[in-house]
Amino acid sequence: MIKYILKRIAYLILTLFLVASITFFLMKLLPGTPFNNPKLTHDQIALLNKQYGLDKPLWVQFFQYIVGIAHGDFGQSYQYVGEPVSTLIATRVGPSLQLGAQAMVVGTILGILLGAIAAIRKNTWVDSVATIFAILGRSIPSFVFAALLQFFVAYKWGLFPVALWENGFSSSVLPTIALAMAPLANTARFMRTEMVDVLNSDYIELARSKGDAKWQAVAWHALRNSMIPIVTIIGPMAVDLMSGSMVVENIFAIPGIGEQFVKSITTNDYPVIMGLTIMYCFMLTVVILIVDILYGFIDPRIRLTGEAN
Amino acid sequence: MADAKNQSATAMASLPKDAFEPAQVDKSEKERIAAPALTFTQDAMRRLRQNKAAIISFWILVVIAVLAFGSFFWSPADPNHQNLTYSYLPPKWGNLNIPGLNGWNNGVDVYKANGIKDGVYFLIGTDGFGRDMLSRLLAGTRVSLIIAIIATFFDLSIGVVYGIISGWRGGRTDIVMQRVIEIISSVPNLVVVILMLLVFKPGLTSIILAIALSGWVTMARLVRAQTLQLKDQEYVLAARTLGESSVKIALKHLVPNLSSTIIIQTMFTIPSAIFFEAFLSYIGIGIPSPQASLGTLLSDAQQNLQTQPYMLVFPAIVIVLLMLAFNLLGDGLRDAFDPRSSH
Amino acid sequence: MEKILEVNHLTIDFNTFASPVHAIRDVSFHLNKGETLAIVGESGSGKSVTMRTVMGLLATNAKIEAGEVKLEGKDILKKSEKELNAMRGNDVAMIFQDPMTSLDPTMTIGKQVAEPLRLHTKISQKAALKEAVRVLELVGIHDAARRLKDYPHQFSGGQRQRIVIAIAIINHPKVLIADEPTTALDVTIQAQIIHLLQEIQHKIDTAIIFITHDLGVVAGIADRVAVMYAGKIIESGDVDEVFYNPQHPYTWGLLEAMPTLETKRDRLYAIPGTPPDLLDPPKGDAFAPRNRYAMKIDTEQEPPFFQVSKTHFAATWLLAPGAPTVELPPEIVRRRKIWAQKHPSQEAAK
Repeated sequence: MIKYILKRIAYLILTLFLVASITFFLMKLLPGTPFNNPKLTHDQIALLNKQYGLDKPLWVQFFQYIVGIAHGDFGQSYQYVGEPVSTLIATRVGPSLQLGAQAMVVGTILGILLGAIAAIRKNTWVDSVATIFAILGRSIPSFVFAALLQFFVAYKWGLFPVALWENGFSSSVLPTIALAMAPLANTARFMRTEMVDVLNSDYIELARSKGDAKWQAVAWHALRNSMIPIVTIIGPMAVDLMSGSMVVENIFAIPGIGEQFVKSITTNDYPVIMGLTIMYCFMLTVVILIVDILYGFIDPRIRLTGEAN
Repeated sequence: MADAKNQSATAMASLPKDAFEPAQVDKSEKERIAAPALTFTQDAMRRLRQNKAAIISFWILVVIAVLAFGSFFWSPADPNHQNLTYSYLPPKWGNLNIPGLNGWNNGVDVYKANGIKDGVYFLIGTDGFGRDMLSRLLAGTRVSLIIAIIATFFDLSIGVVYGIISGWRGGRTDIVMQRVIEIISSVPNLVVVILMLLVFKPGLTSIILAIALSGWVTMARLVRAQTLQLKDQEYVLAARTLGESSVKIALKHLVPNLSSTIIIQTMFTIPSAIFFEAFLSYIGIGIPSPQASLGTLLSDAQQNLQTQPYMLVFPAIVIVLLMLAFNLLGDGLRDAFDPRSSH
Repeated sequence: MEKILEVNHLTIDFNTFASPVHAIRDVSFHLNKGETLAIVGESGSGKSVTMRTVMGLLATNAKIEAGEVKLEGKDILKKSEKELNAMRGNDVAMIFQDPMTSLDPTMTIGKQVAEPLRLHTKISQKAALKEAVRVLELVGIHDAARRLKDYPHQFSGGQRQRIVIAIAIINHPKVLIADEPTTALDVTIQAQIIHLLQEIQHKIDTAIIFITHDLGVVAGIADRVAVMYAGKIIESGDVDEVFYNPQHPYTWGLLEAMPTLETKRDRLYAIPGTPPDLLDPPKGDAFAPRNRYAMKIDTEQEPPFFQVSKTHFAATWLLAPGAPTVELPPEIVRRRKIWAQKHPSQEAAK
């Protein structure tokens, strides 16, 4: 077990190193320097280049960058001169994590309920409604949904703040709902398929022949067996949440890393883009690692060994 | 069984004389197969035709595609023609007085207020530059579809070739190729697309390229898994023993068997490509203005949402319809080709 | 002898997209206290559907058209869902065919074995687990106390079937239905499981319905045998009667198809053709198209039951008065000879 986790962590570090290198060289491929403002004099540009270490040979820059990352230093923002990227990320990661976690929890729990109900009431109107709901959730882009929520629920009906992150929890409600749609739809769909399979399985029939009422067979045997595989789609859903957060945070003007990422793209703030890219990969790989370890704990059939893939 | 005797007694009374003659049994009847034999594809198509949602989706896609591509030849107006007198006109359908389609917005008859001539009206309104939204929507849908379809084509080609090579060669090639996939998939797709768009110049080609280059991983995984299975099938082994070349086997035996996987995955890749395009244009690194795409239309609409909400409605309906139809058709195809996956 | 279970004129249709499938057609049989009844038939003959009816676990598209299923005199078809839940796993229990899939993969076997006890009695979890250990030892799981917290995948196929049996017998059911309990197992393990079932029957005094398509298994375990074909019972009797004095041509076919030590032929007999399509059952005897001895009447009218002895019935026109004497297959001739030796006083039926 420990051997497995260590191996996975080593692998995670290697992945991050490769991602950091690729991002670094991609950014170096970009035309021009960030300081091509015609108002700047040659000397000023040289000074800025020096300040950002851009006058050194490429391999030195690369080495310094990697060493810096290892120490949690992602360089300085071009946009907010003098502001370290790590500080920028640190101050903005909170709202994003909160929204992501809330959306994931709400989405998976509601999705599990919806999928389970659809499977139990298979081929009835309940199933049809749940299926339509799930397909709509999958088909409405998060930014369209977010815009609709903002217009109706916040602007027209005034139930929640229209934007910004200033009213504590109530500021997070609409963005959470907008973000939760995708995981909800995915989980519901996945849960329904799994649950239908499980409900047709021999061990449910055996449970019924033991004297379990239908709800008992569902509560004690079917639910757990159908829920375990959902863990495997948490990774992909986290990816969806990350991309979703970029626009949703943008629409609701939430000071998170998604909003920052979009802003940095429009202002060509390369150090921030690089830092956030690595940050996103880091969060994603950590989520996947945790999910894999978790899977080993909750599914007794999986035994984690050093050999496991 | 107590009444068995009585039963037999009554039955006995009415027996005809030749009852115990040997029966003429039609031998051919014994092995008769009740239903006509269907090939796998015929069977799948039969199942697909029974799926109403999939069929309706198919026709919705056909209608949208015909309108969008038809607008290349005929469009109500030039999608990029600006006319500031017509700025921000809400939808108006002639003299129909249906709320939302009668030229009123926020309690004002905008056409009257702006002194627009009678007889001039825009079915789904105009934007801030007075451009006809319907023409922009048609052109934008066309651009989005073109991007999605071409990107999907490249995405699938890369994925299929990568998957077949990885699965077929096996061994060290497979291990290395799989490691590459693992690293790529640990970076969110969108981040890859965005990084690529920063390197290339924004535009149609670079969006297509970026989507294609980042989206092939799922396809490669599916194809590899199936290739691994197919590789051990008897008929592939037979072809190998007969000395057929690898390329020939791949074309003759693998691709036909992979086709349903590929078709189904295509149906799911297209909507995600549509989404990516819309997303990128939405955050401002996609299709550059003044060209229209679903993403730029939605982005414009979002900026004017509180004053001109009608601008969001129609592009939103089109993108949701497209995503919905592709997803439902994909579901239908998957259920049709892989009956085990449906219930 | 006291009848514990009685099935009378059971008729079940399945609603399909095309038209109803007549899965069970007027099936009647009974089960005496403490005895073993084997129900034999090929796949699709309706034996599993009949047993699901007895358990009250029919699929939702099944419709009971007629008949009654009496457990200790009470018709279970009239029971409410609540009464059925109280009956299942307590009065009637079932052992399934495939032990690899019939245990919940994510629940410890201790909990699974104890579950019927917890459902039907007011026993504490601790006491239930203690009883589970006792029953697991009884079915031959060694060191059961230590293995309570193990999961199904940690056991072999044979062991898992023992666990399934433990679940079925923990409440000492009056009727135990074993649905092809050995089909999915290795031959050596099959014998062990059958032996175990016999042992348990003695220990807890339960009646067993043993469903199988394998006549060879039947000989060792059953007191009585019922042969099913196309949703009907076509012959039933004591095990010796069916094995050594069979009357129905389908039973002959089954016996001919069974390898025995005495078999001298180099090829085993196979019944020609396939079972009929129950969507559109043929007129007359459903077996007629495959029957070497089919007579005109077979294609026109379904044969009623003819009584051979007090316990032995068969539905074939060959038993009708006036029916011709047919030349029996050699294997059946051999068996009739053994029957004659066993019962010298009686004259072997034709």
